[in-house]
Amino acid sequence: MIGPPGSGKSMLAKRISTIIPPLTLDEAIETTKIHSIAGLLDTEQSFVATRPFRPPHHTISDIGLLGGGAFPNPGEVSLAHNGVLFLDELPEFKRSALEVMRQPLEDGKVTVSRAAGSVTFPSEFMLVAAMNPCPCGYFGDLKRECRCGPVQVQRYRQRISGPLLDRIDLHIEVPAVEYRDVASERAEETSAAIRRRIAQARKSQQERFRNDGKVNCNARMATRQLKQHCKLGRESQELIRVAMSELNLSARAYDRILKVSRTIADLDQKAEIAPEHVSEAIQYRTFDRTLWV
Amino acid sequence: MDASRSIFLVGVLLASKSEVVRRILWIFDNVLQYPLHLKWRIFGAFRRSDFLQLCRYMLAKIYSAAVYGVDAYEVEIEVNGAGGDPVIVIVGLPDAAVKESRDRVTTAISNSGYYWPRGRTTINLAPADIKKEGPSFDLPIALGMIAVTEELDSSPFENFSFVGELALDGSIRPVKGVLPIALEARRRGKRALFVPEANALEAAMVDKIDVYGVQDLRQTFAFLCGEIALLPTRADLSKFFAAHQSYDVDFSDVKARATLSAPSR
Repeated sequence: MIGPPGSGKSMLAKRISTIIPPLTLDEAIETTKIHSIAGLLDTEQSFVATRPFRPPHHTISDIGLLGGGAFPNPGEVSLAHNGVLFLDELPEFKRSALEVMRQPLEDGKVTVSRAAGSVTFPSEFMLVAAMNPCPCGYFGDLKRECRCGPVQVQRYRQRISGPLLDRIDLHIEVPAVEYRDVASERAEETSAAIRRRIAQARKSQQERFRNDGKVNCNARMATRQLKQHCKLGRESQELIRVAMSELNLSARAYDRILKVSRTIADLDQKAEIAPEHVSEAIQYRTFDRTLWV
Repeated sequence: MDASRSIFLVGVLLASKSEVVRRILWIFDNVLQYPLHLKWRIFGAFRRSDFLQLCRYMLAKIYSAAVYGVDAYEVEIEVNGAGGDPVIVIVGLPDAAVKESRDRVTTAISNSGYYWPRGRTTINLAPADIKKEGPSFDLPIALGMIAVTEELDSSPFENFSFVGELALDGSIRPVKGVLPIALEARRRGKRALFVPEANALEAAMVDKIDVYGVQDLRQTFAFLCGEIALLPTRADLSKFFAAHQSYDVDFSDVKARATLSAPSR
């Protein structure tokens, strides 16, 4: 999420865990085990029944994020297992800390090797990151002027590496909120309502992966299943071909776009992926090009 | 001085190993902890090991568990009391926190009104090839040491598993990783798991094993001797799980953000 200060990026991030389908009992036990090892449970909260939300501060070290220490302890990526890891002010994080997240993001687990032995912690988390468009925060804002020079803006954005960005599926711009919206009494959609829609989509996914063993949602599809379940029409194929050559998308991005468009189609309750689903998935990626000079 | 010494020794030899003598021995032994000048005034050239030779050599086995990665493994704690100079040796790759438990445990035992073996005490944490970390072995080590001095048969304890950090006054402090430990104890077919009271609910999420939350060393030992009754902590996991599904925050708190979810439509 990219947007000026105060536009609600953190608020949105905090609420993402409320709309993910609830933990299954097995998932809850897995997550609770990790929290138990880290000593985060007490008499009041003796069991992690909801999806965890972990917002580490940007001064966090590689080891704090990934896990480690002389006697390996779980890091933030593992504490966010089955939940949301929220990195606010993404460019402020240490470069090395961001780069070590690549492996856990891909594999859903992290292996820490130390003198005491090598230990594998699970880390299937959803990465949510927020940042300002530039150091002053108002680049591209309609009301306020940005005070940053182009070099400053470029340097700020270059702190996030291409490989990490390539692993982020949805790039969303969060513009500043207007006064009439803040003050309005209009009822916004509740988490419960959103969760119902998502549960509906998840149900059709479970139906699809009935015979695929461990896979239970689109994000965990392997390449073979991708071929099987994400068949595209001629028009959609052309769309992706143009997008890949115009935007210089990677092969991973191609796979990810397919998965995202499959999910959008599921939310739309369509059995086939239509061109509009593909184009929506592609436009969630365009920050790669338009903003990253 | 010579006279009192010989009278005492004769008394000891006559009564052999009766309970009374053993108690008296302990009293004298405790006096031995007095400052040096006092000690010499009372006992002359008496050496502490003179008493300890009379005690039986004892071995106690207590089970505990420790966390490695996301899972726990069982740790067998053997405490051996023998004659000789009063030293406590902990073997089995202990880290600093485990080595320090020697001082916590002895103080906690004394302050709970029990005695610890005053000869050469060897504590082995098996398996000996994995590094042991943290203070969670305090409770089982203390129980093993008391069992040795009280000459208790520790074989009934092999169906139990213990974890807990001891405070100097004998109360039990919470430890980390109780849930994996409870899962391991169940896998090993233990009947009961003793955890610090603050961790009891966390461990009780595991079914098919009795989890006892204990407050202090005295309470634990009294329960093991059958002097007091304790109720196992029960938690209904599925009920608890269903009751704690709500979040503090809701998407309806965020204003005018509906368009973000699907900009193209």
